[in-house]
Amino acid sequence: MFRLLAVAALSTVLCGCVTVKVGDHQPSLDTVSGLRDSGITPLNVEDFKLAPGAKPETDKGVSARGTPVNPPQGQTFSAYLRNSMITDLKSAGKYDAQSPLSVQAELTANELHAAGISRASAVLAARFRVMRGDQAVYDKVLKQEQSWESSFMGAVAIPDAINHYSEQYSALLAQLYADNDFRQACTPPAH
Amino acid sequence: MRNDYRSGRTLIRTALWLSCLSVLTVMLSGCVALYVDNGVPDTPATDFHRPQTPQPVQLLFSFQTKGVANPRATDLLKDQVKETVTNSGLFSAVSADPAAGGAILSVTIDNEPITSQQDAMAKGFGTGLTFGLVGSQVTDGYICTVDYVGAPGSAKIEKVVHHAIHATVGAHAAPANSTKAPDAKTAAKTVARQAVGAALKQLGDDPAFGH
Repeated sequence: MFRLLAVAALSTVLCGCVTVKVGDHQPSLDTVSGLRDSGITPLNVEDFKLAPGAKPETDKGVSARGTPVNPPQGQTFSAYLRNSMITDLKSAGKYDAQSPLSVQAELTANELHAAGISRASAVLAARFRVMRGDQAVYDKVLKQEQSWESSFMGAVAIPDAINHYSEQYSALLAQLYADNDFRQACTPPAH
Repeated sequence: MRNDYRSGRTLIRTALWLSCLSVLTVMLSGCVALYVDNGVPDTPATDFHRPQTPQPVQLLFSFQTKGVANPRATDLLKDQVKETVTNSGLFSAVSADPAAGGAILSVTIDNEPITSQQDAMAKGFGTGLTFGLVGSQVTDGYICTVDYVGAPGSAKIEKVVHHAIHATVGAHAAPANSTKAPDAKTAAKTVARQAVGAALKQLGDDPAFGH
Protein backbone atom coordinates (compact mmCIF):
# COMPACT_ATOMS: atom_id res chain seq x y z
CA MET A 1 0.00 0.00 0.00
CA PHE A 2 2.83 2.38 0.89
CA ARG A 3 4.34 1.38 -2.49
CA LEU A 4 1.20 2.75 -4.13
CA LEU A 5 1.47 5.90 -2.02
CA ALA A 6 5.11 6.18 -3.08
CA VAL A 7 4.11 5.94 -6.76
CA ALA A 8 1.43 8.59 -6.26
CA ALA A 9 3.89 10.84 -4.38
CA LEU A 10 6.49 10.35 -7.08
CA SER A 11 3.97 11.30 -9.78
CA THR A 12 3.46 14.57 -7.94
CA VAL A 13 7.20 15.01 -7.60
CA LEU A 14 7.75 14.42 -11.31
CA CYS A 15 4.88 16.70 -12.37
CA GLY A 16 5.61 19.59 -10.05
CA CYS A 17 9.36 19.32 -9.32
CA VAL A 18 8.55 19.03 -5.63
CA THR A 19 11.38 19.00 -3.11
CA VAL A 20 11.25 16.18 -0.57
CA LYS A 21 12.13 17.06 3.00
CA VAL A 22 13.66 14.53 5.36
CA GLY A 23 11.17 13.59 8.11
CA ASP A 24 11.69 14.21 11.82
CA HIS A 25 14.17 11.95 13.60
CA GLN A 26 12.60 9.28 15.84
CA PRO A 27 14.64 7.86 18.73
CA SER A 28 14.74 4.06 18.96
CA LEU A 29 14.34 1.88 22.05
CA ASP A 30 17.98 0.78 21.80
CA THR A 31 19.19 4.39 21.67
CA VAL A 32 17.01 5.61 24.52
CA SER A 33 17.61 2.69 26.89
CA GLY A 34 21.30 2.56 25.90
CA LEU A 35 21.88 6.24 26.65
CA ARG A 36 19.77 6.15 29.79
CA ASP A 37 21.60 3.17 31.25
CA SER A 38 25.07 4.31 30.11
CA GLY A 39 25.84 6.35 33.21
CA ILE A 40 26.90 9.40 31.17
CA THR A 41 26.26 12.84 32.58
CA PRO A 42 23.53 14.95 30.91
CA LEU A 43 24.99 16.91 28.00
CA ASN A 44 24.49 20.25 26.33
CA VAL A 45 24.50 20.30 22.51
CA GLU A 46 26.23 23.35 21.06
CA ASP A 47 27.18 24.34 17.54
CA PHE A 48 26.83 21.83 14.68
CA LYS A 49 28.09 23.26 11.40
CA LEU A 50 29.69 22.46 8.08
CA ALA A 51 33.38 21.54 8.30
CA PRO A 52 35.82 24.23 7.14
CA GLY A 53 36.68 23.75 3.47
CA ALA A 54 33.62 21.60 2.70
CA LYS A 55 31.37 22.69 -0.17
CA PRO A 56 28.40 24.76 1.11
CA GLU A 57 25.99 22.59 -0.96
CA THR A 58 26.97 19.64 1.24
CA ASP A 59 24.93 21.14 4.05
CA LYS A 60 21.92 22.21 2.01
CA GLY A 61 20.65 19.29 -0.02
CA VAL A 62 21.28 15.98 -1.74
CA SER A 63 19.54 14.48 -4.74
CA ALA A 64 17.81 11.15 -5.42
CA ARG A 65 17.66 10.71 -9.21
CA GLY A 66 17.00 14.41 -9.73
CA THR A 67 14.58 14.76 -6.82
CA PRO A 68 16.00 17.32 -4.36
CA VAL A 69 16.10 16.04 -0.79
CA ASN A 70 16.39 18.83 1.79
CA PRO A 71 16.52 19.05 5.58
CA PRO A 72 13.22 19.89 7.31
CA GLN A 73 11.99 23.42 8.04
CA GLY A 74 14.67 25.26 6.13
CA GLN A 75 17.45 23.84 8.30
CA THR A 76 20.88 22.71 7.22
CA PHE A 77 21.81 19.03 7.45
CA SER A 78 24.25 19.83 10.26
CA ALA A 79 21.37 21.45 12.17
CA TYR A 80 19.27 18.35 11.43
CA LEU A 81 22.01 16.21 12.96
CA ARG A 82 22.11 18.52 16.00
CA ASN A 83 18.32 18.41 16.47
CA SER A 84 18.37 14.62 16.10
CA MET A 85 20.94 14.39 18.89
CA ILE A 86 18.93 16.71 21.15
CA THR A 87 15.84 14.54 20.53
CA ASP A 88 17.79 11.39 21.51
CA LEU A 89 19.28 12.96 24.63
CA LYS A 90 15.95 14.45 25.77
CA SER A 91 14.21 11.08 25.25
CA ALA A 92 16.84 9.44 27.44
CA GLY A 93 16.76 12.21 30.08
CA LYS A 94 20.37 13.10 29.19
CA TYR A 95 19.96 16.64 27.86
CA ASP A 96 20.90 19.63 29.99
CA ALA A 97 21.42 23.03 28.38
CA GLN A 98 23.39 24.13 31.50
CA SER A 99 25.74 21.12 31.55
CA PRO A 100 29.49 21.79 31.81
CA LEU A 101 29.92 19.13 29.11
CA SER A 102 28.82 20.06 25.62
CA VAL A 103 28.92 18.39 22.21
CA GLN A 104 30.00 20.19 19.04
CA ALA A 105 30.20 18.78 15.52
CA GLU A 106 31.35 19.59 11.99
CA LEU A 107 29.76 17.82 9.03
CA THR A 108 32.61 16.50 6.86
CA ALA A 109 30.74 14.32 4.34
CA ASN A 110 27.12 14.09 3.18
CA GLU A 111 26.45 12.08 0.01
CA LEU A 112 23.58 10.16 -1.54
CA HIS A 113 24.22 8.13 -4.69
CA ALA A 114 20.92 6.80 -6.01
CA ALA A 115 21.48 6.89 -9.77
CA GLY A 116 22.48 3.22 -10.11
CA ILE A 117 19.83 0.80 -11.35
CA SER A 118 20.80 -2.00 -8.98
CA ARG A 119 22.74 -0.44 -6.06
CA ALA A 120 22.54 2.86 -4.17
CA SER A 121 24.66 4.22 -1.33
CA ALA A 122 25.01 7.02 1.19
CA VAL A 123 27.89 8.44 3.20
CA LEU A 124 27.62 10.68 6.26
CA ALA A 125 30.55 11.76 8.40
CA ALA A 126 31.16 14.30 11.12
CA ARG A 127 33.88 15.40 13.51
CA PHE A 128 32.46 15.28 17.03
CA ARG A 129 33.99 17.08 19.99
CA VAL A 130 32.96 16.92 23.62
CA MET A 131 34.07 20.10 25.41
CA ARG A 132 34.56 20.60 29.14
CA GLY A 133 34.92 24.35 29.19
CA ASP A 134 37.66 25.15 26.66
CA GLN A 135 39.17 21.67 26.78
CA ALA A 136 38.24 18.98 24.26
CA VAL A 137 37.83 15.69 26.15
CA TYR A 138 36.72 13.82 23.02
CA ASP A 139 37.62 14.60 19.41
CA LYS A 140 36.92 12.05 16.69
CA VAL A 141 35.71 11.84 13.08
CA LEU A 142 33.02 9.20 12.68
CA LYS A 143 31.85 7.95 9.31
CA GLN A 144 28.67 6.08 8.43
CA GLU A 145 28.47 4.32 5.05
CA GLN A 146 25.74 2.11 3.69
CA SER A 147 24.81 0.60 0.34
CA TRP A 148 21.57 -1.14 -0.50
CA GLU A 149 19.78 -2.89 -3.33
CA SER A 150 18.06 -0.34 -5.55
CA SER A 151 15.52 -0.62 -8.35
CA PHE A 152 15.32 0.35 -12.00
CA MET A 153 11.91 1.86 -11.18
CA GLY A 154 12.31 5.41 -9.84
CA ALA A 155 8.98 5.10 -8.03
CA VAL A 156 10.55 2.38 -5.89
CA ALA A 157 14.16 3.59 -5.81
CA ILE A 158 13.60 7.24 -4.82
CA PRO A 159 11.50 6.76 -1.63
CA ASP A 160 13.77 3.86 -0.68
CA ALA A 161 16.86 6.07 -1.12
CA ILE A 162 15.32 8.83 1.00
CA ASN A 163 14.53 6.37 3.81
CA HIS A 164 18.03 4.86 3.75
CA TYR A 165 19.61 8.32 3.58
CA SER A 166 17.59 9.54 6.60
CA GLU A 167 18.62 6.48 8.57
CA GLN A 168 22.30 7.40 8.25
CA TYR A 169 21.76 10.19 10.81
CA SER A 170 20.47 7.72 13.41
CA ALA A 171 23.27 5.28 12.55
CA LEU A 172 26.00 7.94 12.84
CA LEU A 173 24.69 9.06 16.22
CA ALA A 174 24.38 5.42 17.36
CA GLN A 175 28.10 5.02 16.51
CA LEU A 176 28.89 8.01 18.71
CA TYR A 177 26.76 6.80 21.64
CA ALA A 178 28.36 3.34 21.47
CA ASP A 179 31.94 4.68 21.34
CA ASN A 180 33.68 3.81 24.63
CA ASP A 181 35.86 6.93 24.37
CA PHE A 182 32.73 9.08 24.08
CA ARG A 183 31.13 7.37 27.07
CA GLN A 184 34.29 7.76 29.10
CA ALA A 185 34.55 11.45 28.17
CA CYS A 186 30.95 12.00 29.25
CA THR A 187 31.17 10.08 32.53
CA PRO A 188 31.22 12.29 35.62
CA PRO A 189 34.74 12.43 37.16
CA ALA A 190 35.20 10.21 40.23
CA HIS A 191 35.93 12.16 43.41
CA MET B 1 -9.79 26.63 -46.87
CA ARG B 2 -6.24 25.40 -46.09
CA ASN B 3 -6.38 27.19 -42.70
CA ASP B 4 -9.73 25.54 -41.93
CA TYR B 5 -8.19 22.13 -42.72
CA ARG B 6 -5.19 22.85 -40.45
CA SER B 7 -7.33 24.08 -37.57
CA GLY B 8 -9.58 21.02 -37.97
CA ARG B 9 -6.57 18.71 -37.73
CA THR B 10 -5.31 20.59 -34.68
CA LEU B 11 -8.72 20.29 -33.09
CA ILE B 12 -8.82 16.50 -33.67
CA ARG B 13 -5.27 16.12 -32.31
CA THR B 14 -6.16 18.15 -29.22
CA ALA B 15 -9.30 16.08 -28.70
CA LEU B 16 -7.28 12.86 -28.98
CA TRP B 17 -4.72 14.11 -26.47
CA LEU B 18 -7.46 15.15 -24.05
CA SER B 19 -9.13 11.73 -24.46
CA CYS B 20 -5.85 9.95 -23.73
CA LEU B 21 -5.20 12.21 -20.77
CA SER B 22 -8.64 11.61 -19.29
CA VAL B 23 -8.33 7.82 -19.78
CA LEU B 24 -4.93 7.92 -18.09
CA THR B 25 -6.28 10.02 -15.24
CA VAL B 26 -9.17 7.60 -14.72
CA MET B 27 -6.75 4.67 -14.83
CA LEU B 28 -4.36 6.23 -12.34
CA SER B 29 -6.91 7.54 -9.88
CA GLY B 30 -9.99 5.35 -10.08
CA CYS B 31 -8.92 1.76 -10.57
CA VAL B 32 -6.91 1.04 -7.41
CA ALA B 33 -9.00 -0.21 -4.49
CA LEU B 34 -7.62 -0.85 -1.02
CA TYR B 35 -8.91 -3.48 1.41
CA VAL B 36 -7.88 -3.92 5.04
CA ASP B 37 -7.59 -7.58 6.02
CA ASN B 38 -10.22 -8.68 8.58
CA GLY B 39 -7.78 -11.01 10.36
CA VAL B 40 -6.96 -8.39 13.03
CA PRO B 41 -10.17 -6.68 14.19
CA ASP B 42 -10.42 -3.66 16.51
CA THR B 43 -9.94 -4.47 20.20
CA PRO B 44 -12.91 -3.20 22.27
CA ALA B 45 -11.84 -1.00 25.20
CA THR B 46 -13.42 -3.47 27.65
CA ASP B 47 -11.17 -6.31 26.41
CA PHE B 48 -7.93 -4.81 27.76
CA HIS B 49 -6.68 -6.41 30.97
CA ARG B 50 -5.68 -3.24 32.82
CA PRO B 51 -3.30 -3.25 35.79
CA GLN B 52 -4.74 -2.22 39.16
CA THR B 53 -2.44 0.80 39.27
CA PRO B 54 -1.54 1.87 35.74
CA GLN B 55 1.86 3.56 35.43
CA PRO B 56 2.97 6.38 33.09
CA VAL B 57 4.91 5.34 30.00
CA GLN B 58 7.24 6.91 27.44
CA LEU B 59 6.04 6.08 23.92
CA LEU B 60 8.50 5.62 21.03
CA PHE B 61 7.06 4.97 17.57
CA SER B 62 8.67 4.19 14.26
CA PHE B 63 7.17 3.16 10.93
CA GLN B 64 9.56 1.20 8.76
CA THR B 65 9.62 0.11 5.14
CA LYS B 66 11.39 -3.21 4.71
CA GLY B 67 13.18 -2.68 8.02
CA VAL B 68 14.34 0.86 7.23
CA ALA B 69 12.90 3.78 9.22
CA ASN B 70 10.41 5.81 7.18
CA PRO B 71 10.14 9.17 9.00
CA ARG B 72 7.45 10.56 6.68
CA ALA B 73 5.09 7.62 7.27
CA THR B 74 5.93 7.82 11.00
CA ASP B 75 4.72 11.43 11.00
CA LEU B 76 1.48 10.32 9.31
CA LEU B 77 0.66 7.62 11.89
CA LYS B 78 2.15 8.77 15.20
CA ASP B 79 -1.04 10.49 16.46
CA GLN B 80 -3.09 7.37 15.67
CA VAL B 81 -0.65 5.16 17.56
CA LYS B 82 -0.57 7.48 20.59
CA GLU B 83 -4.38 7.59 20.65
CA THR B 84 -4.60 3.79 20.54
CA VAL B 85 -2.09 3.41 23.39
CA THR B 86 -3.89 6.08 25.48
CA ASN B 87 -7.35 4.57 24.85
CA SER B 88 -6.16 1.10 25.90
CA GLY B 89 -6.09 2.30 29.51
CA LEU B 90 -2.98 0.20 30.22
CA PHE B 91 -1.05 3.34 31.24
CA SER B 92 -1.86 6.36 33.41
CA ALA B 93 -0.15 8.78 31.00
CA VAL B 94 1.48 8.50 27.57
CA SER B 95 4.22 10.89 26.50
CA ALA B 96 7.28 11.14 24.26
CA ASP B 97 9.28 12.34 27.27
CA PRO B 98 10.83 10.07 29.91
CA ALA B 99 8.18 8.77 32.31
CA ALA B 100 8.42 8.71 36.11
CA GLY B 101 9.47 5.15 36.90
CA GLY B 102 11.26 4.79 33.58
CA ALA B 103 8.75 2.63 31.66
CA ILE B 104 9.20 2.65 27.88
CA LEU B 105 6.79 1.35 25.25
CA SER B 106 8.30 1.02 21.78
CA VAL B 107 5.94 0.48 18.84
CA THR B 108 7.34 -0.41 15.42
CA ILE B 109 5.25 -1.11 12.33
CA ASP B 110 7.28 -2.60 9.48
CA ASN B 111 5.81 -2.67 5.98
CA GLU B 112 7.06 -5.88 4.33
CA PRO B 113 5.57 -6.56 0.88
CA ILE B 114 4.00 -10.02 0.71
CA THR B 115 3.65 -9.81 -3.07
CA SER B 116 7.24 -9.48 -4.37
CA GLN B 117 8.32 -6.32 -6.20
CA GLN B 118 8.84 -8.22 -9.47
CA ASP B 119 5.50 -9.99 -9.17
CA ALA B 120 3.71 -6.71 -8.37
CA MET B 121 5.31 -5.01 -11.39
CA ALA B 122 4.45 -7.90 -13.71
CA LYS B 123 0.85 -7.90 -12.53
CA GLY B 124 0.66 -4.11 -12.89
CA PHE B 125 1.98 -4.20 -16.44
CA GLY B 126 -0.48 -6.99 -17.33
CA THR B 127 -3.37 -4.93 -16.01
CA GLY B 128 -2.12 -1.83 -17.84
CA LEU B 129 -1.73 -3.64 -21.15
CA THR B 130 -5.34 -4.84 -20.99
CA PHE B 131 -6.61 -1.38 -19.92
CA GLY B 132 -7.71 -2.81 -16.61
CA LEU B 133 -9.85 -5.63 -18.05
CA VAL B 134 -7.54 -8.20 -16.47
CA GLY B 135 -7.32 -7.09 -12.87
CA SER B 136 -4.58 -7.89 -10.40
CA GLN B 137 -4.07 -7.97 -6.64
CA VAL B 138 -1.04 -7.28 -4.47
CA THR B 139 -0.71 -7.60 -0.69
CA ASP B 140 1.42 -5.60 1.72
CA GLY B 141 2.18 -7.06 5.13
CA TYR B 142 2.52 -4.98 8.30
CA ILE B 143 4.46 -6.42 11.24
CA CYS B 144 3.63 -4.56 14.44
CA THR B 145 6.15 -5.12 17.24
CA VAL B 146 5.44 -3.76 20.71
CA ASP B 147 8.34 -3.80 23.19
CA TYR B 148 7.74 -2.87 26.82
CA VAL B 149 10.41 -2.20 29.43
CA GLY B 150 8.83 -1.57 32.85
CA ALA B 151 11.85 0.04 34.51
CA PRO B 152 15.56 0.60 33.81
CA GLY B 153 17.32 -2.75 33.72
CA SER B 154 14.14 -4.84 33.75
CA ALA B 155 13.40 -7.54 31.15
CA LYS B 156 11.75 -6.57 27.88
CA ILE B 157 8.30 -7.96 27.02
CA GLU B 158 7.73 -8.27 23.27
CA LYS B 159 4.47 -8.85 21.39
CA VAL B 160 4.15 -9.17 17.60
CA VAL B 161 1.04 -8.89 15.41
CA HIS B 162 0.84 -9.40 11.63
CA HIS B 163 -1.66 -7.39 9.56
CA ALA B 164 -2.20 -6.80 5.82
CA ILE B 165 -3.62 -4.45 3.21
CA HIS B 166 -4.71 -5.83 -0.17
CA ALA B 167 -4.74 -3.59 -3.24
CA THR B 168 -6.64 -4.51 -6.39
CA VAL B 169 -6.05 -2.83 -9.75
CA GLY B 170 -8.50 -2.93 -12.64
CA ALA B 171 -11.39 -5.39 -12.85
CA HIS B 172 -10.65 -7.64 -9.90
CA ALA B 173 -13.04 -9.02 -7.30
CA ALA B 174 -12.73 -7.80 -3.71
CA PRO B 175 -10.33 -10.00 -1.70
CA ALA B 176 -12.06 -12.42 0.67
CA ASN B 177 -12.19 -11.59 4.39
CA SER B 178 -11.37 -7.89 3.96
CA THR B 179 -13.00 -4.49 4.29
CA LYS B 180 -12.74 -1.81 1.61
CA ALA B 181 -11.05 1.41 2.74
CA PRO B 182 -12.20 4.75 1.29
CA ASP B 183 -8.62 5.94 0.80
CA ALA B 184 -4.97 5.06 1.53
CA LYS B 185 -4.73 7.24 4.67
CA THR B 186 -7.77 5.56 6.24
CA ALA B 187 -6.38 2.11 5.36
CA ALA B 188 -3.03 2.92 6.99
CA LYS B 189 -4.63 4.38 10.13
CA THR B 190 -6.99 1.39 10.42
CA VAL B 191 -4.08 -1.05 10.23
CA ALA B 192 -2.14 0.95 12.83
CA ARG B 193 -5.13 1.10 15.22
CA GLN B 194 -6.02 -2.60 14.88
CA ALA B 195 -2.46 -3.98 14.96
CA VAL B 196 -1.32 -1.82 17.89
CA GLY B 197 -4.58 -2.57 19.75
CA ALA B 198 -4.11 -6.34 19.29
CA ALA B 199 -0.48 -6.18 20.44
CA LEU B 200 -1.45 -4.14 23.51
CA LYS B 201 -4.17 -6.68 24.32
CA GLN B 202 -1.47 -9.41 24.34
CA LEU B 203 0.75 -7.17 26.49
CA GLY B 204 -2.02 -6.55 29.03
CA ASP B 205 -2.75 -10.29 29.19
CA ASP B 206 0.90 -11.12 29.96
CA PRO B 207 1.35 -11.88 33.69
CA ALA B 208 4.76 -10.15 33.54
CA PHE B 209 3.02 -6.83 32.77
CA GLY B 210 2.49 -5.07 36.09
CA HIS B 211 -0.42 -7.16 37.43
